[in-house]
Amino acid sequence: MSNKKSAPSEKKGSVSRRNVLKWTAALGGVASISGGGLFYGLKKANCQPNSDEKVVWATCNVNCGSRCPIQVHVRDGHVVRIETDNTGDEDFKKHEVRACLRGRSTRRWIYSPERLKYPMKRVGKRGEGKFERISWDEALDTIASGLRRIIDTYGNESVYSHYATGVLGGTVSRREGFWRLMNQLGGTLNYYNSYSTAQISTALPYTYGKKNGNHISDIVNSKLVIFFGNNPAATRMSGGGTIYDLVHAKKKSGVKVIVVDPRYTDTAATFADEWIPIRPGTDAALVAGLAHVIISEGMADEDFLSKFCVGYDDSTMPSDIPTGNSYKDYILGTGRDKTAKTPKWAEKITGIPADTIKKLAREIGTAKPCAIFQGWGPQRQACGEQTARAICMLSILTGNVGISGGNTGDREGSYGIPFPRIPMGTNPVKTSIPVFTWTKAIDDPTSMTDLTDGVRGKKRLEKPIKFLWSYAGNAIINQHSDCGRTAEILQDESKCEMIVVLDNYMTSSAKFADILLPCCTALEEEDIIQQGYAVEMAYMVASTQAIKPFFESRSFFDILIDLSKRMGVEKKFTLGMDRSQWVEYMYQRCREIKSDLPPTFKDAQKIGLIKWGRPNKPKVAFEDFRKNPEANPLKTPSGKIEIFSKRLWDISKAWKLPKGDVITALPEYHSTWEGAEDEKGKQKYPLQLIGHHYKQRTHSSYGNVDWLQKVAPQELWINPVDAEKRGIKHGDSVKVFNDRGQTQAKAKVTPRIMPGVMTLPQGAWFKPDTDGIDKGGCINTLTSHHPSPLAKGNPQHTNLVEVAKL
Amino acid sequence: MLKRPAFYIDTTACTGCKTCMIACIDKHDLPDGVLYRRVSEYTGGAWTRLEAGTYEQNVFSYYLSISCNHCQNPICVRSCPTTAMHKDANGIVSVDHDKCVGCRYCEWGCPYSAPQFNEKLGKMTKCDFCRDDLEQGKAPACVTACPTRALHYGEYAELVAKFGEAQIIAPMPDPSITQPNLLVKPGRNAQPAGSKNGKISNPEEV
Amino acid sequence: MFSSEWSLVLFTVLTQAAVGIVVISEFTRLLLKNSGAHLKWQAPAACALTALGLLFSLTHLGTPLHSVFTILNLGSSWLSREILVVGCFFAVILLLVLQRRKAPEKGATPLAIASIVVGLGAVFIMTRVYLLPTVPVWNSIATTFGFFGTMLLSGSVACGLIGSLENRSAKNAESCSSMAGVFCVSALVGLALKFIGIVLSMIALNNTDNYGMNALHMVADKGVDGLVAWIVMVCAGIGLFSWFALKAMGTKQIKLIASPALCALALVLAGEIIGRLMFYGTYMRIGI
Repeated sequence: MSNKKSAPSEKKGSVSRRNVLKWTAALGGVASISGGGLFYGLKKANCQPNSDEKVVWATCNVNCGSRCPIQVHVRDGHVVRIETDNTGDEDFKKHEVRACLRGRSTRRWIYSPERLKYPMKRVGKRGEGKFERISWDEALDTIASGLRRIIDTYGNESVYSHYATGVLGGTVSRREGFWRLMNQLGGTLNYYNSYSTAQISTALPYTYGKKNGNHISDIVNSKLVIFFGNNPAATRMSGGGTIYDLVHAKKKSGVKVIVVDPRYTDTAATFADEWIPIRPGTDAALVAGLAHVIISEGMADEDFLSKFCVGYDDSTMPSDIPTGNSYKDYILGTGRDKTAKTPKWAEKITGIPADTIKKLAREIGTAKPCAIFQGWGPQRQACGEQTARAICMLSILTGNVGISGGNTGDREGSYGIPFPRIPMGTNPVKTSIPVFTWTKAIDDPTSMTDLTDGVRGKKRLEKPIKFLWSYAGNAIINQHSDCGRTAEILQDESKCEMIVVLDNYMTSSAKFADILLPCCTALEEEDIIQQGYAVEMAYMVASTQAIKPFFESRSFFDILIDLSKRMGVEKKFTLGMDRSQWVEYMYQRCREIKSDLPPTFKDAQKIGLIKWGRPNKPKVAFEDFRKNPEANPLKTPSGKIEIFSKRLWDISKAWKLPKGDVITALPEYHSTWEGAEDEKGKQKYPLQLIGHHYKQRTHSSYGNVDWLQKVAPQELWINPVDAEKRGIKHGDSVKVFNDRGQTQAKAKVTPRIMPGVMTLPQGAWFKPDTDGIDKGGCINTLTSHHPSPLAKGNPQHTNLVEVAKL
Repeated sequence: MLKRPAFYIDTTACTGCKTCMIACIDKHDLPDGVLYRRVSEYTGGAWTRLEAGTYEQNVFSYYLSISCNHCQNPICVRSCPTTAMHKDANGIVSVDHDKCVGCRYCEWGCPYSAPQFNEKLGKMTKCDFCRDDLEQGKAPACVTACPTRALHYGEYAELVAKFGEAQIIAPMPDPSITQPNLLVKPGRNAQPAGSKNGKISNPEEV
Repeated sequence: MFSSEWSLVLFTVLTQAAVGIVVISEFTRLLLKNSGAHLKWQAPAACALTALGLLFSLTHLGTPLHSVFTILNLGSSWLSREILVVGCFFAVILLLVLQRRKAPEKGATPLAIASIVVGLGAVFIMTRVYLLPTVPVWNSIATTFGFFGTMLLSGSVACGLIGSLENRSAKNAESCSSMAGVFCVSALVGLALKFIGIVLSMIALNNTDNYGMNALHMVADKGVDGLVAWIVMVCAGIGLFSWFALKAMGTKQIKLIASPALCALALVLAGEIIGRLMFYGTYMRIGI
């Protein structure tokens, strides 16, 4: 049924000014006036490409895992149309890398009203967004003198370049340039981990030595595929990336796919033969319940467990660990907590019926081979390290590691040619903080130690962050947790003394800058761009500058060159080369790796998109280890898969953690603050809230494009059961709140999210009103600064909230 | 040049990503409120609380990407009072802007929402199968855009030979009304046409 | 629930009222031929109403300058036919008015017969425009009953108003009271058609149940006030009119009808406009 509730002429009101004019035109023959609607000279695309239109190759450079080539149609100096890779799609090995809806909307993005035009200096409070225009000279002089003063007063550890991934594509325009500059000036404070994978990146090496997953196209060899919180349909949308490989593999093999996720995602809709809804944060409990069935029904691969693993049962435990600490003890109830992790036990925690758990366990236990892939949602939680290691246990228990058609339990792996980055030199500063704790490093740095806050390279942080640099990122406020508290910390100018933001747009983070600099977009500069980090095919784009820089925007590298002049390290930084010479220099270094590249960068630009294709067969993680564990040990202390990790055992004894946080040697389930089992918290805020990745944006990139907002509006997903209780109907404006803040959005009442759980897509632009209430639907008004125990990572899917109709 | 162009949608590959919509909007510079291609989400299923406090559910969801089906018996053409809406020798249904009066009667009748009123022009507009691309032997913008290759096009008879006879699933209307040149591959969740199990869940997006 | 489709609401209600005026007055003229009852101003009023209705319909169009092309698809488009027939209706009554200015007392001329036939044809074709197979709410006989109901309801009361004014000092009390009687009967027939139409439209609304939206539920949710107002106003209008029409018949003083007919016309038109707003407001198309 068309959901139009009234005659279609409704849409814009039939007796509009325009119609009245047209009516009088009918009578009097007066031509009606056509409306405008152009901003920044955006011109109408003509479907007929004509001779004065040029088409050049560029890329979309955001943090989505892929790196899609785009073809930019330019007429009269304006971008009039975007196309993508259409060079031919016959061969699976060298298929088209088709841009998703975001890349296709590029011209709406580069010309958006938020586009920055000039360097600016803040005149109001930090976060107010009040700026005045200044010259480039004044801007760079101010930055240089501020940087010099802070280095001289506090030392280089006070200088920090925050996590930022708006420009991951490219070489000369990537973030490395700033570290290259700073390493000539004494260095900066380092960070480790990311906002994407803090928990899993830190935890999995304790099990496997490193993160490693089979290629997704390997599932053609599987008998069963399980996705835990893995949603390539929204997180890997490129037509040259994982979703394409998944479609291809599923078609080829018809393998059964089960999706375990609080949400019936687009991946579930398209591929899942079964959806198992699970309460956020309880995956480790599900795994324990499954393990109980697998072990007690004799489906565990005992040979594999004894030969390749440490800690499954007493026979492979380290000798200095007391009995009762093996994985089998934990699962069967002979361990320290004396609790058998039966399906009934797991049911109470996960919300999944015990019978479903039994059935799933039997399927996993008998499918040979079975491929388990976890996404990055389950680990981005309060106890995400436990979850990440736990999910891998399903692969380990059933001996599916290191074989074709199996997997390690990690996310799917990638392939590409590792073309070089700008050489950064060496950072004299060795101190490194977990990336998520940067606000504490501003606010209360000396309380941060190696045993309490994961400080590395030093026992205790001595200096606060005084100089904050953010290039092409929105993690100063938008993507960092607890916007309200973060804003408070940043607004204290005695704490962090200088904030420099470089961006294309007036983002919510840009509003906190002291100096705000406008940068070129990918279409306004040339560069060498390699394939993304989540693909199975190697390629490169030698992009051509499509249009002139927007107003006074400048290339990132040019800005750095000018800064290096003022800091007295121009020669060392530039090596006597300007930006285009650096591009050629880096291109020649690419040719050292791939000698079949054309002789010069200009030659490569004539071709634009250069593909090498896929490896001959899909990657199988730890294949060599599986074939010969003695010759190819894992990078763990024992050389084997450490179900029980002695290193974690030691860390759990040495580290000082807040009450309720745990680090365990085994992949155990533990309840957390604001988790599914927090009955006290639920009295006030009864609903769990996660923030899924959404097709409208890549994090916060593209969040200001009207086309995308129309086809994929920002909405809070709520189950009909929860909505009815609160009188909320589809399309109602609602407020979501907890003690940390309030945000507002439209409600999507849908059975695709389980009762007791809601989801508000992450990345929406933070737009607080004068009372601090966010109108933009930004989930980080509600998330917490409380880092996860081991990685000190962002727990952005662990929240308890309430919702009400506005 | 095709004689009876048709679209084929493989719903087992369509993830509802809306790239086809954006590619079309970009090519034709469509203003707000005009969508030549629309991806509808059809969702259904209920949650039943069990004794143990857990839930049983039978949720399903899938997407359908529809532009214009350049029907064999288009209701828009037979309803149009000015003959502006017409089907040409290549089977493409399009609007002659020299005649269109903007009465929107075609919009009232089309069960696929193909005719779209452009307020600025005061006339109807719609998918024209990217005639300019077809004339050069190229695929329409939406087809070349689809990241999962779920959208195909071609001569109706050839598509039938390749993919089988047209099937109708919810929420598609009765094809006998207009005889659409549209083939759909049903996915595992496909509900029969006329089913009351689900509903179109994203009206605000189309 | 309530459309903002004012141009079409006014077009359909006014032209249907105009047709009603012509059909009823010409029919009465036939019945009461040579009776001396004046039925002079009905056709001109209908002419003006039709012109006004057509003007309103132009405001619905995105490109009114192209309206000359709208009669090009008589072969398959009911809308094309409607525009032609309404145009013809206007032309016929204009000619009738001109003819009557020259020869005021002529009774049933071919032009008069033609105006009845073309008028009824116009309303019939208007209903066909809405019988779209993809719009179940409209695609029912309820629409036919509704449109003809409007025609008779508003036509009768308008005729009564005009008739009472132009015959207030009439000498032919007999024929005037017969006139009142005809108007009363046609008003009541109109009311009956309207009621049947409303009941049938509830059925059509209930049958419009697909893909999650049931039109009847929507009306029950948001449209009850409007529905009640519509029914009450129309009943009140016809009740008022009929009461006084009967009184006029009894006392043979048609001038009695004048003021009540004015109120009744206001009530009936207001009610019908609400009803027509709901008609357009409950538009719901099958499909995607």
